Amino acid sequence: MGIRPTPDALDLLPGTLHLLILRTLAAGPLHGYAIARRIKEASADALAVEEGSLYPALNRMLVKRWLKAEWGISENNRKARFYSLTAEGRRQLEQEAAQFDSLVNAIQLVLRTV
Amino acid sequence: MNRLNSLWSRLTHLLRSRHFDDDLQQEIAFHIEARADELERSGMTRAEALATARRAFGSDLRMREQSREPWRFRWLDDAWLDLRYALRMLRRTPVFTLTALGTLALGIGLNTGLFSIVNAVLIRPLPFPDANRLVSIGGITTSNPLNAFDRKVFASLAHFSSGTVDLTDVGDAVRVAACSVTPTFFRTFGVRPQLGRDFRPDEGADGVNDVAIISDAFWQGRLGGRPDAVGAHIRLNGKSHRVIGVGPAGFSFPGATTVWLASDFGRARFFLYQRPDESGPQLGTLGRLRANISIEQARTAAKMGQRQYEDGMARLNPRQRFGHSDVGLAPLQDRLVRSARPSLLVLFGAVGCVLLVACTNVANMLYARGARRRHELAVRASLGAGRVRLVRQLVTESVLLAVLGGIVGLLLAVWTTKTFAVLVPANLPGLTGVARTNPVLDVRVFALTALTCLLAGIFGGLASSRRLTRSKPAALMSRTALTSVPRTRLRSALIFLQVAACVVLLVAAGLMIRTLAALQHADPGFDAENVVTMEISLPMPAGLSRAEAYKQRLLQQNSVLQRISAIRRIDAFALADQLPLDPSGAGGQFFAVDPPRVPSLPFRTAVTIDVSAAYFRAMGVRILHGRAFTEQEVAEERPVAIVDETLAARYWTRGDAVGKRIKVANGWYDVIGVANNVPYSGPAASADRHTDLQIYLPGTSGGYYIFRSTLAPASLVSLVRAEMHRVDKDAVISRVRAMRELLAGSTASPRELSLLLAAFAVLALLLAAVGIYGVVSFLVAERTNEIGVRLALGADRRRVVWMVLRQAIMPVVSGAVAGTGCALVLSRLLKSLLFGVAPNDLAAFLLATLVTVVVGVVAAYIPALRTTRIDPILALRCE
Repeated sequence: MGIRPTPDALDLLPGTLHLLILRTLAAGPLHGYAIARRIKEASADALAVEEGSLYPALNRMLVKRWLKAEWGISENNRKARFYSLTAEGRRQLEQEAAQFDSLVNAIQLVLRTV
Repeated sequence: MNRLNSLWSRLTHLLRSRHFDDDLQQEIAFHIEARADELERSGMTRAEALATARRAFGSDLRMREQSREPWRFRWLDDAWLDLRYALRMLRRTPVFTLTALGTLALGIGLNTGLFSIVNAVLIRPLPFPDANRLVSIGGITTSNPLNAFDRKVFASLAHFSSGTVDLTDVGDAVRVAACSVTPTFFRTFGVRPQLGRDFRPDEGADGVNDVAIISDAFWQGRLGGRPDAVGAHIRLNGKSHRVIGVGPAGFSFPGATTVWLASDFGRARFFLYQRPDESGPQLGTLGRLRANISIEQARTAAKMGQRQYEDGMARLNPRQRFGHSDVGLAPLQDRLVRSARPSLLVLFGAVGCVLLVACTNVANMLYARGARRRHELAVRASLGAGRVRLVRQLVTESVLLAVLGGIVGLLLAVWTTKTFAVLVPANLPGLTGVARTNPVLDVRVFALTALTCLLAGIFGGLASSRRLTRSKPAALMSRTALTSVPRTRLRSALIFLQVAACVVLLVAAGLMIRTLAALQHADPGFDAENVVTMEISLPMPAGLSRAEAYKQRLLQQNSVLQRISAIRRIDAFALADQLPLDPSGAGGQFFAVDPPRVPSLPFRTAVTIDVSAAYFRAMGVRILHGRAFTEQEVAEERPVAIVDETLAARYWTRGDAVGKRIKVANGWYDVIGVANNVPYSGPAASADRHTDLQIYLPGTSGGYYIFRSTLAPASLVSLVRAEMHRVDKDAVISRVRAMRELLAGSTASPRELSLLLAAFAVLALLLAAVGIYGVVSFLVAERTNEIGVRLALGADRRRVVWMVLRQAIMPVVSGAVAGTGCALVLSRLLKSLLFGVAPNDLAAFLLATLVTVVVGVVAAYIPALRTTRIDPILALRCE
């Protein structure tokens, strides 16, 4: 049994990857694989983050200091890099979440009324 | 805030970037393993799981690149890439690189070196406080009246008169340059002795003038910098003097003075204007203007004062008629550098021309290089490189070249500064001793010159890229682009400039060389063949009163003279106290004549020379009228004189001079003969300087012994020394010189200048030739296809060669014409340096233009010949 290629819904709304990562990390620090798995699980397999976009996004957010990274031990005793939100990241999360909400509401309004 | 954060992150990342790759690698490995674990849990074997996980991960190269991306400074990385690429390109074409580097380094090095000297000599103020307030005043004697004018205008005045003294009691007896000065001397300059004290205002009068200040050079050298030098006693001309101080470091004004003596010059007060019937030694005068007086004001005030004085004198002496003289007043710096200024400025212009040729060469070279990469640039453009990016890459190469050239140029500049330092005149106060051997490199000039070269390089690179980056890549690579006639406006313009600069340089060099030739053939006024001079110091006998010692020395001297006269193979032997062409000679003296003439010319000074009877025979100076001195007249120091023909002609009708009287210093002398004029300052003296006048007086006080003999100088010296030591074992012979040496030395300055100008001219010509050669070769390469087409269509080969040649010859010829025009205008500035040749000398101009055009044509012809070897089939095929 292979892996079903799920259409990358993230292509539909660019820039949402940051939002998802931030929200995922709001609960606590996770390593890269765990972030991807959590997003997939939380969206009921609808959103599968490609590895090719995950790490670049993580690095972008590291540069902007929304996240910080530390080396730690994973659940199966291997060395892994754990990402966690900074205060700046939390602020960014709120901001982007709010923006996203208003955007989606606006689109839904249009879809319902027209 | 975001921007700041990311900037900070990226900066800190620069320090840790090495670990980044490893960290990322580990993260990727972990991710794959974690995925493999999951797959394993869902039933796969470990191996299968790993393989699947890896496949799912995909190519990590792109991902890594993208992960790295946010951390980098994009432009920095690009610049670094450009730099490495440029370096590679430069390494691949060593001939081009070395030529361009060499050219740039030469231009930068020469310019910086010379301008450092020009700055130090001409521009930088003298190293005294408020040095622009110092003025030098000419035409003063010891018998002029002081005036209220002086106090209003000058804060301080000082007089000085230099000569030589025999210094004993400190090591070997030696003759040194000494200067009698008023006690205000050092104060006027604004300096103080570094050790001991300055002269007191009362010192200098008779009886209180046995104090001396020695120079820093003498103190360091002879006395080894001993702190107990102050208070020591030295003997000058037999008289004991107490050293009261050591002059400031590096100070030896005027010239290379070793010791300063206080003097009031025999009178209690000083006068600024010259009484027409007075005579006496000419004094140098130095003044420090008051803060609110400008030089013009001082000059005007001086002129007015002089007029008033002369009118007053005329009223007092109604029978005598007085002319007008001018008090020459000029900034001290001007006076000191006056002799060096013209040659330094000319050299500066010459080096500027070389820089022009160098920069145009480099620009042309870069242009050709850029154009050659047409294809490569087209490919890059079609792969998505923006125009800015392409231009930046071309410019990086030029900048790199300029920077490397600048570094080499800087090293060269250090060397050229030292070499050009020989051009610094010896009498400049700020540049004696240490400073002279280590003149400071002028950083500003280096920066300016380097900037010029950089701009030239960028300009060249940009010019070539303009056309390339404007048109579409496809057009660049198409066939039509390869067969169209290339535009050469820029390159022609650069060649035009080069050739013009070369012509100007060659004209200057030609004029100076002709000047040198004329000088060497000029009549020095005496016969320099087989004449040797030396200085002999007989120490003053100790333990006697001054008069007695002097008398005894005279006796010793006479006995020495007699012995020397007995030596065979000496045709003539004489004494004199000055030599022609000797740069350390004393200044002139004012004189008066009887019967007095209305002087329509300013009052003149003449060099007075004490000579023995055989002087004229020894030196080969001809007596035109009257006779030479007799032995008796010399021995008794009778009041007779011999004047030179110019003086005789000016003040009496020629032939009538014999029998007239002339007043020099403190006595009237009868004129008994007229000799031919000897230009004491050498024929190279500038045209505006007065012709030297000479007055010969009989006497044997002179320190120069002159021998006309066929003996070799070495054997002569040993014979003389043997005779002298029979009389006094402590006698010292020094400064043995052949008059021929002095004659050669008087043309040293024009010779240096000619040599340098010729060297620069040849250099510029060489650079221009290389440049033209390069441009034409490139032109031929560019037009190979077109030439192939023409040849295939049946064109005559010679006409094709001419077609290519014409493109290069046009700018060469027009450049030569323009250069000749410029040279005509500029050569007038050389006037003060020329002798025996006019600034618009036809021969020099013709030769310069001819040589330049010929070199230019040959440099263009050689590569143009290559077109004869082009096989049309090959030319058309390879595109």
